Amino acid sequence: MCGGTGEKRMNIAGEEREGKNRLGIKSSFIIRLVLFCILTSFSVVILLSTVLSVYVSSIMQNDAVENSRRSLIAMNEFFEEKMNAVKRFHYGIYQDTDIRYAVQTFLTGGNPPGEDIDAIHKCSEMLHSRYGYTDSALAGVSLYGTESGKQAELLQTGSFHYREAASRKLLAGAMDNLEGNISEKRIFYSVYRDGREDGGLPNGTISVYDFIRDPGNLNHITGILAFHYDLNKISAELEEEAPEKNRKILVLSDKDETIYSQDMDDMTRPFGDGADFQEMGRYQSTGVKIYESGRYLMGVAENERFGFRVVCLTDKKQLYSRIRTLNLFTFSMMGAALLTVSILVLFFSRRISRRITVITDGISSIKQGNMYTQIPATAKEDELDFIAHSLTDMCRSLREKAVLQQQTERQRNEAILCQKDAEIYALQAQINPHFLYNMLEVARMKAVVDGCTDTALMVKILSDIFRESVGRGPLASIGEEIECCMLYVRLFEIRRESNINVKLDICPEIRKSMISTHILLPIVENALVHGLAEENAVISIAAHREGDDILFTIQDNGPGLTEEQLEKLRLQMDHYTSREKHIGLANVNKRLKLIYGMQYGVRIQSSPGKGLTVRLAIRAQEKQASSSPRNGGEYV
Amino acid sequence: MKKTKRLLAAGIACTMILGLAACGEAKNASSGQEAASKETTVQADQEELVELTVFGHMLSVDKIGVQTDPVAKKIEEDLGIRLNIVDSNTNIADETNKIAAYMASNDLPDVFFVPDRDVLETAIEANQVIKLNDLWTEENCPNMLGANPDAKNRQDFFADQYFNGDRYGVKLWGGTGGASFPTVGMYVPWEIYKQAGYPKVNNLDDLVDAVEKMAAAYPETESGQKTYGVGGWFAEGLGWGDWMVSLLQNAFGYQTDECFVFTFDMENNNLLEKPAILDGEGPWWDSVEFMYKMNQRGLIDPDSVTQKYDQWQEKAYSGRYLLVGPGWEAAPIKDKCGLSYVALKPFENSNIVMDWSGELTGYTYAVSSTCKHPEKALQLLDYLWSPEGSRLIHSGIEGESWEMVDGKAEFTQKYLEDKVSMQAAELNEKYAVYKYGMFTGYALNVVNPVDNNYLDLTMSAKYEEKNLTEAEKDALAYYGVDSMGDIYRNPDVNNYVFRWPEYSTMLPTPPEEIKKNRTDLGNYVYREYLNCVYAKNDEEFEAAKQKMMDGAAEYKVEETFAWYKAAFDEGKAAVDKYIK
Repeated sequence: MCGGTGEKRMNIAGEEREGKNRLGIKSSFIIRLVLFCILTSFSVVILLSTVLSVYVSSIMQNDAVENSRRSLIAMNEFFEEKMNAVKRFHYGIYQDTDIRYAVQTFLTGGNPPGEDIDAIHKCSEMLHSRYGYTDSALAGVSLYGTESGKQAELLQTGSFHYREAASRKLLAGAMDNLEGNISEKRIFYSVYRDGREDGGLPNGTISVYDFIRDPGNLNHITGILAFHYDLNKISAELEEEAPEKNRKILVLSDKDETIYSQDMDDMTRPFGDGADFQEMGRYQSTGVKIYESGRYLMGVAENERFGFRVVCLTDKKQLYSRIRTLNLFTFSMMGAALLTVSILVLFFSRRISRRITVITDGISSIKQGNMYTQIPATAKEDELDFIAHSLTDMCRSLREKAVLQQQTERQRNEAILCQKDAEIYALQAQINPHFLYNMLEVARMKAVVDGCTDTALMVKILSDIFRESVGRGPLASIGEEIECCMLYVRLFEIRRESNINVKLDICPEIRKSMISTHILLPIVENALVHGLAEENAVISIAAHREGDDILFTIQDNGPGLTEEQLEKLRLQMDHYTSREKHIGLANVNKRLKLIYGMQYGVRIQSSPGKGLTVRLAIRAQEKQASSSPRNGGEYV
Repeated sequence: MKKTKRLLAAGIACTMILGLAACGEAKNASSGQEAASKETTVQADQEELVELTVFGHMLSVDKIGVQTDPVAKKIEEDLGIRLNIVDSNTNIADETNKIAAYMASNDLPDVFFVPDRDVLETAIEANQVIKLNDLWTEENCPNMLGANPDAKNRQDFFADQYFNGDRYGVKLWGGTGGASFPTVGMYVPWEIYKQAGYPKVNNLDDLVDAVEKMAAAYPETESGQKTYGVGGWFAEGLGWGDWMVSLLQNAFGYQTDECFVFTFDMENNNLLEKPAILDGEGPWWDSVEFMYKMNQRGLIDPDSVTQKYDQWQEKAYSGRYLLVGPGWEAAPIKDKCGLSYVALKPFENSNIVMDWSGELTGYTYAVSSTCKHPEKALQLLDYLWSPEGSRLIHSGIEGESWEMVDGKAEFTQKYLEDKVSMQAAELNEKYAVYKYGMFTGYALNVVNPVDNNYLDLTMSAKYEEKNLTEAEKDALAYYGVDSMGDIYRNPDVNNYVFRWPEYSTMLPTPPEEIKKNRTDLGNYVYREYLNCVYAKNDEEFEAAKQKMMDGAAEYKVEETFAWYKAAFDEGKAAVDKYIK
């Protein structure tokens, strides 16, 4: 079964090949097109996938950088505000004379205890009323006298863990700082952290402090103003800025000490000394710089005002694993799409190929001359169907045109033959005309000498008729044609020895109209030969114009024709061919149709005893110099 | 075989085309990389952008913080500096307090206005300002190192005279120049002056007559308020309250010490030989006598003794004073009451002060030790001393707010239209013309040495011409000149440069006794001089005058004068070296 189908397919293929060979087709455009499409698709898909992959990677990296930048800016602003709070309050102390005095006397230890309480109260009140610090992360605000050793809590909340330990650390650090030039820094930090307590979050405090100066001698440090922030509460405030899993944010002091880390468990620096980080110029912008190492993308926001920096670390491994997954997905989808497209292209190309084969077969058939070829089409009415329809229509059209052309050619040939017949007829009558004229003249002279006047007259008329007939071209005026007819009648009168009454009714205006020669003469001759009555023979010839046509009526009063004879005559006229020797009415009828058209011709009417009436019509044709019979005018 | 080859060729061609396309893409990507690289450069440049906090003096900044107007943007582009204005005041005392608080809390802005030298010295002592010596290089301050002699002179003077050559501050707002009108003059409402028949004024007595005629012609304003010849703000206190009396001296080229010890003569930049209070024929007594005569004619506002300057302004802005001294008030008076105050042409062969020198004086700015980019701060201050920097601050961006037309700098038509149609704050943000006011090297009345046009284009003749009233045009026609400045700058008048501030800064702090005597003398004169102004008749005036002169002797005025004269001479020698 399979073998049979395979054989059939091979046969079909062989036929197709044979058909194409006949047409001179040596390669397949469809195959080339399909190959081109597939190659193009492959290239475009690979290119697109690569571009898309690069683009997506770039976007994801940019997103990571942008998110990092946003976090950095937010964290920077967050911590700057914490430090600005210290500076604002510190500045406020110096703006208010009373407070300034109270603070200075408290710090230098010149106040009695009651006044110290008053001073602390004033400061606390100012802190609350004027600055309205409602920061939930603010655990306490302290004043420390560097010389007097006094300490005052201007604000204290329950979340201030390990206050004493934190204060000790702060004071120790402050004393160290006092050894250097403290005027170059606006703010100082001290971070106190403790381990986990009851398994919960680690507690800790960031103390932000500033040195209080004697307004009269700015180099004289009298105390320290410190704002203590609870690390856990800072983390709670920063929850909105919580980094993604692949990111880690740190706040470092100008000495690279970790002030804050969002991962409270890990306050260490995960990026070593940073020596392996390279700047990524394209991502730099004011205040934020991005660096890259083998493992991290690192964003750094420098806070120049307070000398700290926020560092955002993005783990590249985690970031790029997402990018890889996305790329894999993209390539897979593209590959699947490509495969589907290729299968579809092959499938459709095969269908198209089959249909084209049908068309090429049809063309081959047409090429062999089969104008009855019909190329099958489908119901889809697509371009190929259009080609098939067009080829079939073209065949039909060519076929019809060929038939028409054959008919036309045949008619033309017949017209030429008729004309030739007439010319031959004329030529036959022209055989050595001069000899004939001379002989007729000799005969006439003999008749005159012999006293045979009638004979002499007949010879004279005959000679005129010959002269008239032979001397004409294909066209003559109606007047000339009538005169010729009248000579012929005269000849017949002499022969019959009786008069023939010829009634002429020729409209004068048509006398000069042209008519094909020897159109009327055969009809008049026919009347003279067959239609003259024994006595009182009458022949009527009438001609008048009717529109563009000229109508002739030639009537005799002879015995007429029976119905049968009339029918026979009509048949003879209808089936006349140039090969027939009789060139009477039928010849005239045929010539009229060939010369003037099928609507023209001869009509005959007759009944026994009532003579024969012949009617014929021609198209009026005025005499023209160029078409004068004498000048060789022609019908066709 | 051939067919296969053709297919292969087609495939290769196709691949090549795609390859080329890919190369095109790659090229695009490459050009993209170039663009990225370019962007990197730009961003790297932006990365160089630093933010400087500035505490300014007399700025018209509506919004504190980072500035985003075109002038600030231009500074960003040119210098890579983003301006963050943290504060701006007009009151020196307030500024002193604020700077003191900033210093005490160690929170000075990167660049800050120094209200006086004591503040700077305190900051130096507290290590809160940067000594700029190491940064004073051609790279950071080409203008102050000599490219602009006006800038160099004053910086050298400041460093040499006060800080032994160390660079602790930068002096801005200087350069010698003058407006098209006298800063102090005999300003009269020209409409009324015309109405009074243009009375001739060739001396102070003529001036009294002229004012009287104007008062007769214009006894009250259109709103029915009584007019006065002149008004004072004597209640302001010593040094400023008496200024209405003393101001005429300024108009004629003299400056009397606020405690009446000496008089500075602008003609020769020296002190007159006699103490001001004892020189009965001197310029100060001339002024007092003029006021006495005005009072005799009933031309002084009776509220002058009790009113302060703001009350005086309110009346002046209503057009109630027919003689006004401060030239800077002419424009607001015209705006508010429509009268065009034009300074009368000085008397024949008299003096006038049109140009005010600022070669050594000006406003000082310093860089705090907490500034992370002191070199940038210095570049900014130096840029303000360049002609283009000063023009930028005074008149905004070229092509936006001003343009060069036939070699003359002019405001653009668009700016002038916007100035009429827009709110001041909106205009300020759009063009920032004079937004940063006195935070510039050249003062507003200085002519740009590069294009020979005023740095502040509101002073240009073209701008003035557009704003002339019919009365001002009449004044020009009356004097037969083309511009207001031509009334005063002509061969009939000796035009002197006002250099007193430059010399006065060199006066050292006197010994306590001298200081006390001087202050006491000032208070004494301030108490007594109105007795002269308001004397009932000439005899009483002369008696009061003599009494004051006699009383002044009790404050050892001769001795005080001698000390100041000697100190002045010493200071003058130092200053003259720096004066062009």
